[in-house]
Amino acid sequence: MADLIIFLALLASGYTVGRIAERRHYRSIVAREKDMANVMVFTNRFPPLTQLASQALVTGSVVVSEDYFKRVVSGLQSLFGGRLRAYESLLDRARREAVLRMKQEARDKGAKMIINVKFQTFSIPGRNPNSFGAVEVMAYGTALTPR
Amino acid sequence: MEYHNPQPPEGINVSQTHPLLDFLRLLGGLLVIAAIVFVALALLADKVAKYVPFGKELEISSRFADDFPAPGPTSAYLQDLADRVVAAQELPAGMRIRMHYVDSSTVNAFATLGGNVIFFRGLIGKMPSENALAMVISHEIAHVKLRHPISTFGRGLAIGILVAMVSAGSGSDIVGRALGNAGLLTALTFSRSQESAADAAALRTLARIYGHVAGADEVFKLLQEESTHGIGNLPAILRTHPLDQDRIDAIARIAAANGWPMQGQTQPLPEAIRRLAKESKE
Repeated sequence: MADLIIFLALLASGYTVGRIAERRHYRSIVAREKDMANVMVFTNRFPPLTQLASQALVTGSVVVSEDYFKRVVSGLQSLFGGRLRAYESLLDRARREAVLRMKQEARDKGAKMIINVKFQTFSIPGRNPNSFGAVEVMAYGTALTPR
Repeated sequence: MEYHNPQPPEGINVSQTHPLLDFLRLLGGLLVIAAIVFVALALLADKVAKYVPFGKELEISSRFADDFPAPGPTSAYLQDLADRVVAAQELPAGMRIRMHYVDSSTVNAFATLGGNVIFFRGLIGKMPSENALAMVISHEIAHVKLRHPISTFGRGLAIGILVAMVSAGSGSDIVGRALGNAGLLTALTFSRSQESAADAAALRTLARIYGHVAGADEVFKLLQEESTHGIGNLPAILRTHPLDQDRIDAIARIAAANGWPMQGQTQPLPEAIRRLAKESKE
């Protein structure tokens, strides 16, 4: 019975806190994406600029962890299969946040664009299925600053 | 050439389904499946339990041997009475009954794995006669004879394994914990049909020992008084024990159908037992 109460309390707090944090984060992401629209991002390896530019590696990295509610929901979902909706928003936030941090670094360098942008992910707990779920999402690319 | 990065529209990579709705849908699906599997396993355990040799039951119960109270004069008396019941009830060869006495005011008695029957002082103190006590003992021994403890145990075990498998499959023990731990040592509760079957068998035994079934209904009349002071009156469908009045009626019906007299000379409990049950350490 005590187990069940602790479980429900964790579930409820995971849901409310996770939901509030997610809303706040999305608001911040959308605002900063507009703010940093002047730093352009290209997946192409070749710079579209004709003039000479100095180059630098820029990275943006985010480590994001699930909350208790997401963990339970994804645990249930894994019994049935299908889209892990609980994790979709988590990873979406992580990707966009990583790009924003990379852009921030580029803008601080005075860069106007980042080319050859790539993503990399790494599972923090490794392959232990009973450990917590957290993932690092890293975006990196070559920032070009006009000379 | 002009370049610009447009802001991509929201909601492509993220589902707009409400997370709580998602959770409830999954939970509902899981509960439906769990209910179906639970019923199937319970039916299967019931069918299979009969074929588990009693020796296996003894093997399982020997693990809990240390939990039983030490034998004393009261358990010796109970054992003596039980041996007479065993002889009258014609238990299969190899099936033996071991009586245990617990010095506690709990008004209860129950049968568990390996032919172990546990009696509490509270119940013995309430018994008006040896016949009534023999009725309760016969009832518990009938549970053992009809293999009710092993079938309940098997059901709990099957569900425990199922829960363990589900929680392993989901990659965490959270789901398992949420479903509840169907532990091995939870009290064995029997279904209403099992209780009725044990009642009928006990009545037959009583008639065989004493020639009449006087005192049999006294037990349930006592329990009826107990329950009006107790938790309150749940509707019949919610209770695992058949309602006491239903059981009293059933006893009268079975006795009449078999021509067993409901009246007769009842044996008093030995003075030592009555005294012991009243003057306890508590």
